[in-house]
Amino acid sequence: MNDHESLRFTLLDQQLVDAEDRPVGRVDDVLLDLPADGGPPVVVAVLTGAQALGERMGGPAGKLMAAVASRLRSGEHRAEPVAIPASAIGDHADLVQLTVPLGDLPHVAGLERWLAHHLVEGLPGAGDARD
Amino acid sequence: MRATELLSRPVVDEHGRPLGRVHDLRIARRPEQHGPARGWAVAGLAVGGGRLVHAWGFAERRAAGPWLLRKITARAGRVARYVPAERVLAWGPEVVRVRTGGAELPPLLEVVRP
Amino acid sequence: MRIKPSMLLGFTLGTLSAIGGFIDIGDLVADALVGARFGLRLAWVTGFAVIGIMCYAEMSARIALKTRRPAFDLARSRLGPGYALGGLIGSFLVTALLVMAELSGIALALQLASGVHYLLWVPIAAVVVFIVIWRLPFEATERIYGLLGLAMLVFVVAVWHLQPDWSRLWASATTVAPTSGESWPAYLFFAVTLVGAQMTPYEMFFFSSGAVESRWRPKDLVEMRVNVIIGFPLGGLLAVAIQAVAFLVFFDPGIRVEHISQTVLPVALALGRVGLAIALVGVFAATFGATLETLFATGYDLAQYFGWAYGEVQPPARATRFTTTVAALLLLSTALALTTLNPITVTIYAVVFSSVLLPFAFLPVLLVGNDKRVMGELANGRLSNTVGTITLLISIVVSVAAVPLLILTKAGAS
Repeated sequence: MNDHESLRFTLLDQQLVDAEDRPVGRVDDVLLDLPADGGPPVVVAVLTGAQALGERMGGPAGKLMAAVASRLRSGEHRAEPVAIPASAIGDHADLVQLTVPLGDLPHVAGLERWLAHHLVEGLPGAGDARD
Repeated sequence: MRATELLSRPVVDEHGRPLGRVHDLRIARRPEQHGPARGWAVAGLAVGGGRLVHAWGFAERRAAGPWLLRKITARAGRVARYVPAERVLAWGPEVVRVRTGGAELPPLLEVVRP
Repeated sequence: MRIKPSMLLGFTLGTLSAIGGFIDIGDLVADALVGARFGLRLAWVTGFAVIGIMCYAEMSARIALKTRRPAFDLARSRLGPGYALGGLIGSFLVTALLVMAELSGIALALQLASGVHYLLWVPIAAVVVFIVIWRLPFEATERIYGLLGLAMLVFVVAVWHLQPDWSRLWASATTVAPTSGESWPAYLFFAVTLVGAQMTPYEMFFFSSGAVESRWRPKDLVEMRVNVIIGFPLGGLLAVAIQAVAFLVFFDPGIRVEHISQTVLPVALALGRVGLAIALVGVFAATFGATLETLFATGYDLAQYFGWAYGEVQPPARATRFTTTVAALLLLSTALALTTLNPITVTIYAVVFSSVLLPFAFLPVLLVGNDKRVMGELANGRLSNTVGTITLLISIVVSVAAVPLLILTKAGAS
């Protein structure tokens, strides 16, 4: 009949994995853009991370989550939540697979890398922390 | 615009009469971009019926049971409507305004894949 | 159907994980308390809990077979991020309390075996737990403590050795009312406590991740179901046996259970030192296994909520947020255990709060189990849906009643 699908079940809140099947995060929100020609909104990026999720949930808990997540990130990208462009999204069935490896997305999973570098790497038996 | 800002936004017709709230976006692959860089466009909105029937998947016939939860959401499922993107006059910021032309909007259950 | 050795191993493993998941500190405490005060008059609650957890363990394992992902993975979109986060924070706090009690359980088993005070054993137990999490593959450890957990069967043997009046046991088990001198609120409070102790979300969670780890596929459906049908009722049998021995030894003299050592005392009376030693091995295995399981379940829950890397398949440095969370939780629980709070009181609070969270764990599993686009031909049948819906409804009643009953009865004191 119609081949449109539910955003709730195909994109939003789904697990994101990179091109090598490593978990990247969840689709915490979806960024839409209204084309100037008056067509329907298009998906330009998926947002992932606690900042996007906190901003979505709102309320005191959401604001706190977004503020902490924003503070934990460094550099000029602090104000905006982590975005993965729609062009990097490949096929999706039960999960959303990216067409690029995690290493190509420097702003994603920052806390994971920080903890790996500063805390866990020094412990015996941690394995190789670098990707 | 964030997709979740659109969710739960009130929907009105051209005369300002309320039609319910946005509870889901119907998205489709963009036909002109079936290459390496594919993407989605919003094909329409799922409107009305309350949040639960959409979040639990009954609004798009993902599940037939269990009996009790289906019964609880059955009326809401019949109320839910589909608004094709072409009929949307304004997407926000406060309300979504749609053109109905005085006609009934199609029930969501009739336009989703079984 | 030909029976292969690997299938037999699969049976025992899954069955053991079902028993191990069922019996933990919550059971050791709640069953002994209940047996001493109410005899077997709450055994029907255990019967209900076994049926309910069997239904949801089977459902979540079936989801895992089909999707190769643990059941809670698909929960967030159904509950919405707000409710899911509430459930997550709640289960994090409950787990911190439970792990504290489990650590105390390990330490008390070691104290009874060695004579050295349990508070000295708590940090040692915590360190051993951390090393096991850090270094050992989960399947191997699960096998070890699952096998050792069979030592708990000594409670069943003890029932016979205490030479009970069987007709009195039967009369007690078939009576749904408080014993004389006890109030209805206290009776109902302990019913809630048993539900919280025996229908823990992490059992369901764990059984389903066992299905992922054992690489079960849809063709292994029968094997999975045999495990459910053998494992959980065996766990329930052990629970009723603990209630029965506490009834036989403590009820008539009117002794209240105030210490975990009292859980194993009836075994010592019935079977002497050897029986006690076996029971202590069982207690050690059950609490040690449960410590690992609760810690992991919470780590997994958190990781899945945010979509982080997790689990045993990745070296710890590849899943740093997961490892850090588990370590922080363990540290918090150890600190709690060293405050000398009574582990029995903490356990009661933990299982009561756990029962409050039950509907949040059951509802998404029931919804995903019915999702035909996810589950295809493995979607729930009529039996799963009927039992699942009834269990969900009862869990909602329990969830609403738990805290008022806790306050009304002063945690069962009156």
